[in-house]
Amino acid sequence: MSTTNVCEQCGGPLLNGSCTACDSLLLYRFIHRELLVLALLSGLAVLVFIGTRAAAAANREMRERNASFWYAQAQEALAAGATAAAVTSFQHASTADRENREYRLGLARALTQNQQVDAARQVLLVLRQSQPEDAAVNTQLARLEVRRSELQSALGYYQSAIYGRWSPQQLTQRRQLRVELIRFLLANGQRARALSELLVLSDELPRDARIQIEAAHLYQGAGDARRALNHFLTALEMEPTNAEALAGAGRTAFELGDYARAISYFDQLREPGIEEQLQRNLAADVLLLDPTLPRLTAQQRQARLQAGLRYVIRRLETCDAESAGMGSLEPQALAARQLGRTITIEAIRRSPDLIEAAVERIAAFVSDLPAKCEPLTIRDRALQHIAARQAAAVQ
Amino acid sequence: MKVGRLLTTQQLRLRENQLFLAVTIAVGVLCGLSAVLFTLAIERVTHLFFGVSPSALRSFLVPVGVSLLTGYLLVRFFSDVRGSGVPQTKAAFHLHGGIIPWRVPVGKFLTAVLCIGSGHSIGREGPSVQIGAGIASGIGQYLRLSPARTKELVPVGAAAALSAAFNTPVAAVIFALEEIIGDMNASLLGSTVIASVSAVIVERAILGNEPLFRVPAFQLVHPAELIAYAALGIAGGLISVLFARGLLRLRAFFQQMPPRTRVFQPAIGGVFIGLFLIFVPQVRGVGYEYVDQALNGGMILRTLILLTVFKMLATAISYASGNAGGIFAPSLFIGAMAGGAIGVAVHQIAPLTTGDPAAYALVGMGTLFAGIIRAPMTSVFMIFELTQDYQIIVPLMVANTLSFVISRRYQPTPIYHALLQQDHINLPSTVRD
Repeated sequence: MSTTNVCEQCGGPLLNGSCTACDSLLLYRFIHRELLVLALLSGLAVLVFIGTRAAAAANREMRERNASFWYAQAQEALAAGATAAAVTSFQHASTADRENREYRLGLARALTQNQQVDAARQVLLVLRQSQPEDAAVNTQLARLEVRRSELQSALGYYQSAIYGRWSPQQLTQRRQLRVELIRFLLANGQRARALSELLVLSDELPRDARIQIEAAHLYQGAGDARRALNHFLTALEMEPTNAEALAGAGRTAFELGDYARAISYFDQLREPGIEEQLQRNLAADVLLLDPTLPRLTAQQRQARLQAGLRYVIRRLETCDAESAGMGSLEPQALAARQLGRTITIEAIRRSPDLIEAAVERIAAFVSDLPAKCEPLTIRDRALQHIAARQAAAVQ
Repeated sequence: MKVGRLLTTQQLRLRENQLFLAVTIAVGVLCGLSAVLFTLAIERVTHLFFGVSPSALRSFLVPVGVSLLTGYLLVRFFSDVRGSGVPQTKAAFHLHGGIIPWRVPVGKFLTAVLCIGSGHSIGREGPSVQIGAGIASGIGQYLRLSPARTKELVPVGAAAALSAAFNTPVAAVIFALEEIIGDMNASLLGSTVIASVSAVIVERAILGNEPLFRVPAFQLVHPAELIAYAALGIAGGLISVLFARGLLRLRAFFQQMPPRTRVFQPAIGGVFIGLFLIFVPQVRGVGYEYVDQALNGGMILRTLILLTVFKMLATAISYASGNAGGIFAPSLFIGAMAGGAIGVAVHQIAPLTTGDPAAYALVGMGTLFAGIIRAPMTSVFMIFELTQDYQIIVPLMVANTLSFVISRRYQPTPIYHALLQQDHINLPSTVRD
């Protein structure tokens, strides 16, 4: 047997039993065929891509229809108070149309109503991951954190919500949210922060009496009677007979020590309530008895102090007579009489501090009245108020 | 010879490599498209069969009726497309030189769409892998590539399909290397990466860049929480063993039934699934929407436990009765529910030192995947890709490792290998776990 070293097909030389030329030709043909098939494959891929895109679009529409069906079901269930069913329907809706944030917000609301606070929080946190500035998500998170007593993080979410993204049509909602934040701050004893939010709120307020009154109440809660009064007055400019604004203005004017003005606001009330009447009378008594009011002469101050003392002595004596222990309040009455003798016009001129001391003593006599005596009268409270105001002024 | 003078053999080999690269991209794109189309078809068919809110009767009749049809198709025309598709792909790669007949991807697409769409509790990733591998092998055969090149295209197609089906390109590559090839140092890394990336680009161009699940931010609240994750790993390992053994035993039971019953076996499974769907509709199909809910804390403890148990039962029945569908998605489903349940429990015991139950659901997915599928690296990368959060790595590895070790101890043969053995197919010893 002999082995040939020549290729039977092309007659070329064989190397290790194979023909290099034939191998190359085969490979060459293969590659050119492959190029053609690749071109065909690419064409096929483009066609399939277009078809698949169309199918994906059709499926997306189908999902959106399904989602809308489940959303409607969820809303109905929520309206009927069936929160568990609402949760399930919202879950279907948000699964069917994952891009619709409204469905997921609805789910979070339903979960919250169904007492699944942690689950609701989880849904909102995932939503927040994609849009941290979403005001609606931050608002719901803030409210959830309030429920969980997580005050710091609630505050953070409130801030994120307020400074988040709002459309021009949602400015009222943003203002209401700021009001909610202020109430939250006040409820948690953070007056300073509440005041700074209130200052921003004041700039956003429309000329609407109801809203101005709401702001005034918030200022009252934050302990800023002056700004509260300003907002009550703004409300009165728009609605001069608004009872709530008049009562509020009266109270804040009283708080600021402007008793005459307080009385004028209370007097404008057509149908004053018991509280308003009491406060009006209190203001009138303070106005009548307060020896520390500005622009009074020494005679007038002395006369007011004496009037106060006479009242206290009479009160002590009446109370002593009415109570079982006769004579037990005699030392206080005696002390009051002695004090009365020291309060002269000359003494007041010589030592203005005498007024403060006398006011304090008069209030102390009132406070010492035993509980079994007749309850505190308006005048008692007026005398106590005068002393308290004076003490606060000294401090 | 003229051609020989124009181009040397070396030059032609270089061009062949370049063309193989182009083929790889084309395979990646086509397999990606097939996976997307497969997902869309399942969604459409599910809607067709069940509508928006199916009645109890419809929920029962659909799986039974459709399974009669698929049973016939699976016996008469597509006998080699039952079950997941991953074991068959492994067998094709290791035993048949990467040759997969065109009948397989076509039959798998059709039957799996019907099976999953009719409510059977099985996954779409395994079928996607087999369809992708089948398309890749078919292209290789059509181009008359060398046997070695054709074989190489099988994991490339599998990676591309999985990448598009699960939207996790890196995990898909790792899965192809770890599970299909069985060698993490394979020289095919470059091709699988290219195909995987091509597929995921196509998938995102069509479906958008939205992740498969909305995953909450992960947080390890306290180092001691790792103990809870270790407990999750142990529980996950035990559940994995229970599930794998249960499924294999049930499948063996169905296989022992007379051959003439094979055509009705999917419908027998369909009867049970129909009953399940009336009372626990959440076990229907792939069930990723409920995984998403578990990941977002939308489920209570009782529901989580209930779904863990019923999904295990439903998947075992659907798979064992010979339907076309995988266990990839059910593993993740069971893991999410079991993890979520453990998360809720530990959070109730120690609320200050443990994170949100959703984090446990997330780690649970990887844990059960590592225990059932026995692909620990894939599971770590998959969850990492889903979360894109480095913090999850340590708890995930702790839980996965424990689950993997326990599963290997009590179920020495990995489930895909055991399924092949039940079909009297034995992979080479080098591929085994």
